Amino acid sequence: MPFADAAPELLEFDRHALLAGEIWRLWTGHLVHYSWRQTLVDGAVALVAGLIAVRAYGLRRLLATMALAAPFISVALLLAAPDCLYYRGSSGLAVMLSVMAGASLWPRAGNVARLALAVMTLSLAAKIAAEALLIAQGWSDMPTDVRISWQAHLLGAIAGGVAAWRFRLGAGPH
Amino acid sequence: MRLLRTLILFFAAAALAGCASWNGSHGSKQTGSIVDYLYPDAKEAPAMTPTVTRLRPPVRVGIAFVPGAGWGSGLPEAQKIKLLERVKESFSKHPYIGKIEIIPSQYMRAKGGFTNLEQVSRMFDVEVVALLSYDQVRFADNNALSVLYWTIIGAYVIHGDQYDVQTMLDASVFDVQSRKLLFRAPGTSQIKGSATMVSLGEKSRAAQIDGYNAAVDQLIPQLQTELDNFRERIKNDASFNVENKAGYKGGGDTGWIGLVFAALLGGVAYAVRRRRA
Repeated sequence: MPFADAAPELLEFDRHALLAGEIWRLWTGHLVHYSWRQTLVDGAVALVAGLIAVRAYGLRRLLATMALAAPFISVALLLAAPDCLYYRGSSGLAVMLSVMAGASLWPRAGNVARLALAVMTLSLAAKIAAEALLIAQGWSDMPTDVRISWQAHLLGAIAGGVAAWRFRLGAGPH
Repeated sequence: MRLLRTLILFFAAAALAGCASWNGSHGSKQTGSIVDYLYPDAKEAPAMTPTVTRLRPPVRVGIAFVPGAGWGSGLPEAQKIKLLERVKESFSKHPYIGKIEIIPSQYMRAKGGFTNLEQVSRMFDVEVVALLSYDQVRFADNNALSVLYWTIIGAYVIHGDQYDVQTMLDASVFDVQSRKLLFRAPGTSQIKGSATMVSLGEKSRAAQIDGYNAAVDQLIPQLQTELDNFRERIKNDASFNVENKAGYKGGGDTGWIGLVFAALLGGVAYAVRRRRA
């Protein structure tokens, strides 16, 4: 399947191609992956977090946030990670959705649930730190020439935090 | 009259069994020599100027079979690709090896030398090429049972032919720019068997393919060991310089931890809904 083989290369975040004007890659780089395992895991996380978030924020707001967050993460990668020549993966958006989902649950959560959310937040921060220090490379079974882009996860968390603050919810029913 | 009849019967039997009885020892040879490919018509040893070989991991590698000596020599292209795929697969997990390109035989010119190798490396965008040279000899002999071929039915049911296929593969890994042999590893195999006269061709062809497969089975671990030795050797060898390429491939991967997060998040969402209900 020549097209199936070539499509990821046409869609991935490619620094040189982006700078040459192929701007669709700002969005599509988040839709392609290096392996089926990466696709399934990132997709599953995004799906679960998305289903929780969509109940709180609504579909239109969520889609608009994703449409803005994708190029935000890509442009920030261009600026903040100059050595990152290629990028594939939806984990940046998955982290963003997770943060939004967690933020939507917080006002209505009881003490135990809040404790769980706080532990998850700290774990996420620790995971990103471990990725930045290259400790987490062994936790992933991505191709060996691919480095985990911790910046994408951090940017996703920031985007999720900003979106949650922008659409801040009260303790009432959503 | 009786004598004439006996003579006719004798000659008829001899003629019927002739194809078997006149078919003695025979064999064939398939060869693709790396020396013939890289140094065609060389009258004297190639002059090597001392240079520093620069390797920039992850190294882009091409793998190819050395072109055969003549038309029809060697394996069919589809079989070659299958064998190269197996070699490729076993080396694709190393972090210091980037992409691995399989170079089809059509791009390799017999006696093409380093000029052809450089053209191919540019075409496939590879820095290092692993060349697989091969030498396979197939012997076929009749055994004592072949006398029963004269019954004609015997040619279909009696295993009166035996074959012996000996294969040697050799993988030589070259840095294209410096034309230096980085390391090499061999793989050998011997396949023996017997067949009826009718099935000899088919069985011996299958044995030849099995011979290549068995040689690759032996080659892969040896190549792995040689690669490890090479990595150790270049640390103390001044003629090699390992540089890191600028830039890297990034991947967003939430990993299995992400799935645990998602499950916990789902649990919290369920608990919150239950609490509100």
